[in-house]
Amino acid sequence: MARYLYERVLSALLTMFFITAILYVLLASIQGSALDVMGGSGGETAAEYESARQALGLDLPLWLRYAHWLRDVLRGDLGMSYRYGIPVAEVIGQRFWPSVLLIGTGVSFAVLLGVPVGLLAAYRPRSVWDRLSSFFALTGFAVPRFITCIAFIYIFSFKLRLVPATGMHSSGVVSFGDLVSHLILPASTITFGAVGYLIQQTRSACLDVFHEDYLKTARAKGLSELEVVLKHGLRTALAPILTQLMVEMPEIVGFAAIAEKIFGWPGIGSLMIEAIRNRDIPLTMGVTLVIATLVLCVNILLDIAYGLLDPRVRYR
Amino acid sequence: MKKFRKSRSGMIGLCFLIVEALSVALLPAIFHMDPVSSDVQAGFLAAPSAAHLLGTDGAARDLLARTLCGGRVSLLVGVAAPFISVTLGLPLGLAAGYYRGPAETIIMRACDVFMSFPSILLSLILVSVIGPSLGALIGVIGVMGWTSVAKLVYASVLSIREKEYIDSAVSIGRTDFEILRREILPGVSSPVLVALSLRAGSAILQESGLSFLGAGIRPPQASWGGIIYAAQDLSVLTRMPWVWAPSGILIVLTIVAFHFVGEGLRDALDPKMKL
Amino acid sequence: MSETLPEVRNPTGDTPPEVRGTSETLLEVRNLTVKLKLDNSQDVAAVDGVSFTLNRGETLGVVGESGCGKTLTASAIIGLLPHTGRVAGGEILFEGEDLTKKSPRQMREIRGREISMIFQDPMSSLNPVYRIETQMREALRAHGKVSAKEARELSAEMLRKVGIPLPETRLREYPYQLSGGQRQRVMIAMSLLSKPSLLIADEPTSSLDVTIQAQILELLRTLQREMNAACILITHDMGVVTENADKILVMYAGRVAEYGPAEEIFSRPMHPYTQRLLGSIPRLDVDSDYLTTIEGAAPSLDRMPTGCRFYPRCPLHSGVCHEQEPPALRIGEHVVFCRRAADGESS
Repeated sequence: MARYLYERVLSALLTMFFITAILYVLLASIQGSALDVMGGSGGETAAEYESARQALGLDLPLWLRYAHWLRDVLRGDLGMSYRYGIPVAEVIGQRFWPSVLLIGTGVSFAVLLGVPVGLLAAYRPRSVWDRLSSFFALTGFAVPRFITCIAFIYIFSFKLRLVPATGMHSSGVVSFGDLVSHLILPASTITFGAVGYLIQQTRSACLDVFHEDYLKTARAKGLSELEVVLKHGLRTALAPILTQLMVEMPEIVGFAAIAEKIFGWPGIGSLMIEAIRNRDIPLTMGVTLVIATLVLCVNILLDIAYGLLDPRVRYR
Repeated sequence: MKKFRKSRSGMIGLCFLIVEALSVALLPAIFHMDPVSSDVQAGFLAAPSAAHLLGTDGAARDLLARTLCGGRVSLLVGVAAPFISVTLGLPLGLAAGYYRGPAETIIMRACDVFMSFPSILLSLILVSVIGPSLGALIGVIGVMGWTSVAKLVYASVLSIREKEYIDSAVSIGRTDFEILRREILPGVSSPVLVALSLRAGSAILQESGLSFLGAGIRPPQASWGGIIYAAQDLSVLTRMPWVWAPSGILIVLTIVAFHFVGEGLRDALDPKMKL
Repeated sequence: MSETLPEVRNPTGDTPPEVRGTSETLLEVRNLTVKLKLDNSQDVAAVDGVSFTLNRGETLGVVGESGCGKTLTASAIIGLLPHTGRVAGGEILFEGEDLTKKSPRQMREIRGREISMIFQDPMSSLNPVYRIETQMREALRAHGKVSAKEARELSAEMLRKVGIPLPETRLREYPYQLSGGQRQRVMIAMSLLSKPSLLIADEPTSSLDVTIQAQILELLRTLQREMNAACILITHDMGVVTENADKILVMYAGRVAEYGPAEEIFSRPMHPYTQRLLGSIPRLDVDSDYLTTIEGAAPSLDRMPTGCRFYPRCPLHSGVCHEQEPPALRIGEHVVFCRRAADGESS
């Protein structure tokens, strides 16, 4: 297990290195125009422009700039946001937990809904559950996320007037109930977006397991049907379900970014979209780093869970 | 193809796509619709009327014309981007699966790197680096799709390799190129064909998302995502569903249609294929 | 099927004394019919009028090609038919009680305690994610409270009995850490934990190496004798039942072809199908350059021939065979359903 984990962490770090390097190089090519966004007026002399470039270190070769950025990151310094004029870490600090709350809630409900429905669909093929699962699978990939958000606001907030549409708090109110009422709509769009894949994966993983002989063995032992289905069926299918969640995680974060933007939820996803639009390169890199870390940490956690769930991985 | 005709949803999807393609290609020209100029007399964000069957948008442009022209963008991206994905993903997947070793490690690692970051954010950065245009959109979405094609091809090459006829081909002295072309390529062609139509759906999904975020087709050019962008204004969203609902429904239907075609193809070619 | 047939197949006055049941009788299956719903929602009798009896401690070998209904028969006995299947007729008398009339709950009480079952593929019949100990404990706990310590001791002892070295260590391991033969030993140990009076073994050795096969069969025989458990040994391979079985039931296409004491079946097989099956055992004492194989394939469920179901592949068939159901010929306990055998006997 230790070796297995060590490998996973190492590969996660490597992945992180590549993602940040690729993005750094990409973003460097628009850094010049970023300078214009900052300066704005266009009245500077060539000398002023050059000194600004030097102040940002733009005269150095690309790889060295990346190395410097990496060195600073390892020291805990993400640089200053062009746009906000305060350290990137501070900007992200304010926006980080709302995102975790939103994604955590959305994904938890997707699991709580998707796994039982997928299980029932596999247990009773061609039942209502099975049809429900195909419906959600279809909507899961055929309905663009932003359409889900807009449709949800239109239906639940405007037509039914159940919950507020945007923001994280009503102005001047700081209460748990208020937070929850603002959370419901964006979180349920994330649930809606993620649940289709989860149902599909649960269904097919369970279908595979339900054909296995060890379910017959469990029944032949005299276990109750519930024990057979949960302890032997679902329990064994959990590992592939987790894998699916791992694969979907980046897409869920991407979807959360769109949801955050539409619902005015102050998270890192909407921050990233703003940062890209404003060509705020240090901020974009900072958020990239945070999102990549978030995704990879979740994946390592899921990897550990996978190892605990399937002994064959643990001893490999 | 006979088998494909038996798939009812596949045929419905195909018919829908053909009708849609013909309408977006021909109708604007036949009825001299103008998606760009404003009809100030009709008003901004006007409700549907005889003059403007779907109403007008925030710049008083005819929404029916814009919706049809937006369809051109979506269908074009849906058809063109997957070909780029396959052009990139097919050789890489073949190389990874056939040669194994370092090629496999590097290519599959690269896949993991790409897949561990939200593709919508990555595309957003790419488009803002290149500058928004139809070409950039197709290129970026096509490039971003290489991973799923490569993984698919890689997996099917591995399963073909298992079979013994490859060994016998090696033993009679065929070159790698011959084996790839004669033995392996035919085996991966059906998954790739299915992937093409399934990728089309997700390309349209991404295009609409990027256009919605303002990183795709820029106004005055029309696109479905761009039309729906107007719904970010709360009063448009809540009181003027005619602005965004038709494009939204068309996006969903188009993606579903591509998906049905893909599934129909899969069932016709190899029902056990896993995608 | 004709109306008169059930009478022919199970004539009321003609029942041999043994079949009527003695105190020694453990299981009596009478005219069992299992219907399966096919994908095209056709309802077919995949097991059709099967009857046999099994005494305590005896072994019945059920032999036939795959798809002949032998596994379905066993599944019906233990109450684990696939959900497309149902018992459509007949009785399964176990300890004098009809299992077909039991509720699912009552059947669950019987399963694992009175009747155990082991399956063909030991690689997939143990759950890969649980330790051996956990899986064996489940078998004990399904039928009454047993402390973890007791369960471990009982399991270890049973593992020792089936010849697994270092049972305490093995208990802590996962199935993938054991070899195929060892896993099948674990399955046998698990199925015998609750000291059942009937063990159903469905192709228990088919996926094992030949040397291991013999060991496992030997083990089954010893343990069965020791615990006085009856056994239904299902196989497609006559060779497997030569040593173990007291009685043989040969099935073809859902029906009984021949049934009787093992020594009679082996010394005097009367059904052409049985003869062919026996011919396909490689024998060292007979000098033969080739193995006899049975030509053709068994009919599919939805396209059963009329009359005798074996006639399309039968070397001895005559015109009558596919017009009329084969009559039952009984010689003591030995029953054969074949017109040619009956003709030969009466002439």
